[in-house]
Amino acid sequence: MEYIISIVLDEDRFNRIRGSGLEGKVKGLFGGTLKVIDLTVTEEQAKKILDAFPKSRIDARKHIEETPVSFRRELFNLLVTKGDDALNEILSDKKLGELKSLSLEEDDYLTPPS
Amino acid sequence: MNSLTINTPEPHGGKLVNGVRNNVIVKKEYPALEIEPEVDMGIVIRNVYREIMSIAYGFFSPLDRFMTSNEVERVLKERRLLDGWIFPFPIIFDVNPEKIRGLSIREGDSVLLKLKGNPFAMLEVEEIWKFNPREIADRTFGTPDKNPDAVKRAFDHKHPGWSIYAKMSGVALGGKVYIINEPKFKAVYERFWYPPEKSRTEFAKRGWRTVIAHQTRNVPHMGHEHLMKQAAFMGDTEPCNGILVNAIVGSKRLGDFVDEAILEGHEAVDKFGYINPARHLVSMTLWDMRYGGPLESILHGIVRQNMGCTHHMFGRDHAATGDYYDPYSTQALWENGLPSFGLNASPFDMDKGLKIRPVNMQEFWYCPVCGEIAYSRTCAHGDRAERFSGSFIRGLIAEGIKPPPIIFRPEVYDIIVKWWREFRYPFVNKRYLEIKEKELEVDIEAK
Repeated sequence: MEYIISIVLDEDRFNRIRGSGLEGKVKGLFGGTLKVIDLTVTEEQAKKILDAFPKSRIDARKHIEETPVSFRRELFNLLVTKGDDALNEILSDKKLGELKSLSLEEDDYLTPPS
Repeated sequence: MNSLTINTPEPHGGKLVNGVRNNVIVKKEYPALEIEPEVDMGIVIRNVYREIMSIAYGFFSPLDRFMTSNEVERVLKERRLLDGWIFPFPIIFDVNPEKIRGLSIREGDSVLLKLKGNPFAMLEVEEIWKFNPREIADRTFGTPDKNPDAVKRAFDHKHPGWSIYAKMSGVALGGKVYIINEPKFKAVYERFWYPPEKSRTEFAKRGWRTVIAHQTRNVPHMGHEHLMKQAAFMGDTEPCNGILVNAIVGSKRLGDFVDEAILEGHEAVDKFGYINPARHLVSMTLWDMRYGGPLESILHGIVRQNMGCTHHMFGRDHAATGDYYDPYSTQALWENGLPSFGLNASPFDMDKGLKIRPVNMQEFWYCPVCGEIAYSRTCAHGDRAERFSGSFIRGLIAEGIKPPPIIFRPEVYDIIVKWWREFRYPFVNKRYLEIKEKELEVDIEAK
């Protein structure tokens, strides 16, 4: 079974991937009003994510949702720098450990948009 | 008026309960019991004051009491009160047995119930009875063996409603309850408080004969808005005159939207004209959700019929959490009944059943071919559907990304951000729960 993680691109993120070769992977949703890159996640990778972040879950569309903000932000950063290796990189024990700690802080405070 | 005309239904049981009594003299010898929240793993899952409010203000009519053992037994066997009217859940006032002993509470006593240290309500104790909480929890929600027509998975501690019953003390006080000192709602809640007598008066004032109820525990996205608008087209000779949004306000789960944003988010929909405010009213009912799927839908029907609604919309997975119930069991109940729960026909068709009419709805999605939000039963492009689930939208919000207007109204997003700033978090977290359950939705004066 394969699953999907959608990385949402706001204007800033979209500008960061311009010219990186990732532009071809961008999908427009809702009449092109929202841009996303869908990453395919294997069963093993999905298990690792769900184990690390107990609030995350797989929805009816087979999308992995409710992962911590810090995880999604780092996944985007790694996508820009490491391309297709982003998922393997973020699921390394060291990186996952760091993100688990950050996600606990997120439970108490998230900066509101300005 | 003709044979097609639908009029405001009578309250469930024929008469609204009025359990608010002023000028009651509280005798010093009455035992006084402070209402305490029920806690599971450090999180408040229930505060029985909300049930007392809903009983006393008539939302649960004809129920005017905490149930005695024989009434609970009838509810669990037949989903009916002792007088025969349909009712889905045991409403139990469980108390720590040491407190009962310490206060020497006996059957026949009047017990003063205090809230935030002040007199709040009186309970006329008819029966002090013992029960097995785990057994009551299983019988309340059903099991895959006994209720295969609805229950897909055994209930456990991850289910908030099951936990409410399973965590009870095992000793209950049954009897009539009434409020003797009306609490005052905090400003953010007050304008949404429409107990049945008031909502019925408001409907009449607005000239609403047919009113469709929308159950909510979420801020509205465009799927909800389309659901409301389309479901309202069910009426009689014309679409419903009004849409009543009724938010369940009570104990929350981590990650839910905060009650303040839910209420004001729905209000923003009419305030900014997306639904004409002359046809839309946002209200609330105090209740710690049991997430009982089809059973909860019966309670919703009772509450909204009592409020004066003629129709009730039921979507997929109504009032459920997790995968305990079949996602279509609520719609199946309102079409043909759920015999394993003693409900052999739709609650609308049963003797002493409900007079509110179900409107079973499916899903709304964005269709890139139609180029609009489309209804799953009329759009033939299901393979291209772009769905916007609540969790997807919560993910966007948490990342600080404003969802596009085609799936989320910007004014509703602004309300979320307003309360995000207030609580330093966009959703319910432990800090919010601590504040909410300490402060509650009301204040109460010393008397």
